[in-house]
Amino acid sequence: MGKKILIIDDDRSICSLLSHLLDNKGYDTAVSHSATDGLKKIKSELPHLVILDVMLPDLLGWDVLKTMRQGDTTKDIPVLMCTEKNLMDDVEKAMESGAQGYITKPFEIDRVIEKISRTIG
Amino acid sequence: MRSLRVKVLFLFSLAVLIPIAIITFLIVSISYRSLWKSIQREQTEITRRVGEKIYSYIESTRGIIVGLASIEPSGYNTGQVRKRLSEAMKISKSITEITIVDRQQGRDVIRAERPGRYVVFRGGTVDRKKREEFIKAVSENFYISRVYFSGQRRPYIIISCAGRKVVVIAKLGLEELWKIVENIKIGDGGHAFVVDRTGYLIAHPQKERVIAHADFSGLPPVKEFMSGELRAFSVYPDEANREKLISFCYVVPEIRWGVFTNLPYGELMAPVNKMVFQTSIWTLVFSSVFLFLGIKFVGGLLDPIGRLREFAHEISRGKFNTKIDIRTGDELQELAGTFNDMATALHELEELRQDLISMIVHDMKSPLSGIIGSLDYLLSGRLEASSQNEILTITKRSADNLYGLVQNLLDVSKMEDGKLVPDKTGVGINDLLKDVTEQFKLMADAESKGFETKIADGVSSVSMDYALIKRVLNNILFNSLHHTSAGGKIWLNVGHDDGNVLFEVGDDGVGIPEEYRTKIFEKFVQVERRRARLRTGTGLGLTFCKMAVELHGGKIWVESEEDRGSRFFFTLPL
Repeated sequence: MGKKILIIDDDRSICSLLSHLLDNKGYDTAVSHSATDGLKKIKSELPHLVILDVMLPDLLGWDVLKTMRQGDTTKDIPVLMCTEKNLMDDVEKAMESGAQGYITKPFEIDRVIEKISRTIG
Repeated sequence: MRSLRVKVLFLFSLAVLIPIAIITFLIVSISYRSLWKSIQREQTEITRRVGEKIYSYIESTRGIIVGLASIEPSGYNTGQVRKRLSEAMKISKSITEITIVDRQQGRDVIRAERPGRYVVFRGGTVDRKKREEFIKAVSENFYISRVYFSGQRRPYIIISCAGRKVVVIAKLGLEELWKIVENIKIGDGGHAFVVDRTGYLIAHPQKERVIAHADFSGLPPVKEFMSGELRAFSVYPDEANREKLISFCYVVPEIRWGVFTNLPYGELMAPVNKMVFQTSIWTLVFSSVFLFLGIKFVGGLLDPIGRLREFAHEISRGKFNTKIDIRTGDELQELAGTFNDMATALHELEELRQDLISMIVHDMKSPLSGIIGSLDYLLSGRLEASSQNEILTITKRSADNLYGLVQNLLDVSKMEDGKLVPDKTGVGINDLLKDVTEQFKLMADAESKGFETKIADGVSSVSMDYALIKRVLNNILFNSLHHTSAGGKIWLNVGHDDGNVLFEVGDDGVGIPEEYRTKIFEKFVQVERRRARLRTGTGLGLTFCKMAVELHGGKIWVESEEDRGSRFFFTLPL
């Protein structure tokens, strides 16, 4: 089994695309479309990496990250924030809140793969 | 364009200056007339007094002569007659000679003269029978001659009077009369003169003219006097034609001499002109003051209006973030307040508009990212043939999603303009639900969410725009899908409600805070909620739903409990 990656994004297409891509790279992916659902899955499945969108229907990605960092089991799980391209505020905020990196929409596949493998090997 | 300033000033002038002008005109014309009348009266009075003085002068001399006419011829040479003659001459110093003529014989009897200081007497033999002074005295009892001049160029007239036996003839010097004329004061530049009934000058301040025996009968007022058509006054140019003179005339009774007082017209009119001048000055002063006040008033009125116009200009150029400060304490201030409110409202509207645009753009970017990502993946060529179909399906879904957003946006805009006419046909509920739920069921399954549909008995078909209502259902269903956690439940029920078909889409998801339950369908509330990072519809999805349902004559609402789920309802009339 490859390393487990959880994708939290309310856009179903993005999730499908990413999971397809990462499945092909040998990772084990799971998706979640809301913050509450995502947090539940983080706790139960303890993934090796979380790809977290900023805009979620119920909470913001930042809130999810904050909750993760407070949990004993989840505080060390690396997180890549998914932000709008050219939104420097979000990029800065991603680094400040303890995310390991960020990827911007729309993706460039190679960069995404590269970032993921650099984060979790 | 005629400016308001001109209009207001024009009205102001009409309202203020015209009454002033009318009042001034009335005052001037009334005072002018009364002043002119009083001057006329005064002048007539002066003339009359001069005339009466002359008359009494002549009258007193006549009295003396009439007294002498009672002398009897028998006592011509008596001392008594001499005494009476010298007494008469003592009474009137102007009488230079008195002759007693025998009425029967027409010859002089005695003559008293005053060559120097004393009276001397001479006997006389002069035949008077053919002389005018004798003939007229006998025929008319009394006679006054024209003016004669003595050897020393002294003017005199002859007055004669007939008694029963004698005729008395007296020479009356006119120096006394001259003095009267000379001494009378007619204004500053006026004078009086006297002419006899033939128009010859009898008395004038310029003695030499009398001495030269001037004939004044050509002078307009004298002409009138001679013709007997006397007017109260007449105006005529003086001999040198330099200025106009106004002349008043008085006819001395019995002797019918004309007494004239002449006054330069300008001098007579001086008080009248002065009054007119002063009134004009004051009118001018008042008018200027009122005009000045008017201009200030108009300025006070128009300056804020100008500023308001400037302000409106700014707003029309899109500067909503400005304020105008007018403190006139009247309607203009209120107007400025309204302007400010308008600017604020426009400012808010503009912000909402921009947020709406950025929200829409954001909503569109998401599926577009999916499309671009998928295509990128496909183009990379690292994909096995078997996976291609899967990726293309993802791409198609993103494209459908994007198309749905655009369609919502266009339809909302069309419905707002009232340009969307629903294409209604009878639609079987079963067909509709099958069409909608088939795909949705797959999606729900993929996210491990339960989905159930239920149709009450007797619900078969409704008249509707199939495409619109299908999108309404899809919008609400996907809204529920997005707000439900994995393992949650979503359901779609169709039933009857009071002559309507009632659709219910429910979920056991996060729910909607109470304050947003009615507003969730409003366009701008979506933006507010997005700003507050709260549950929103997909783009303008719910706004579209509300408008589409209402276009069918139905209603849409939501019942919800936080953390327990939401139930969306809408009705379509049967």
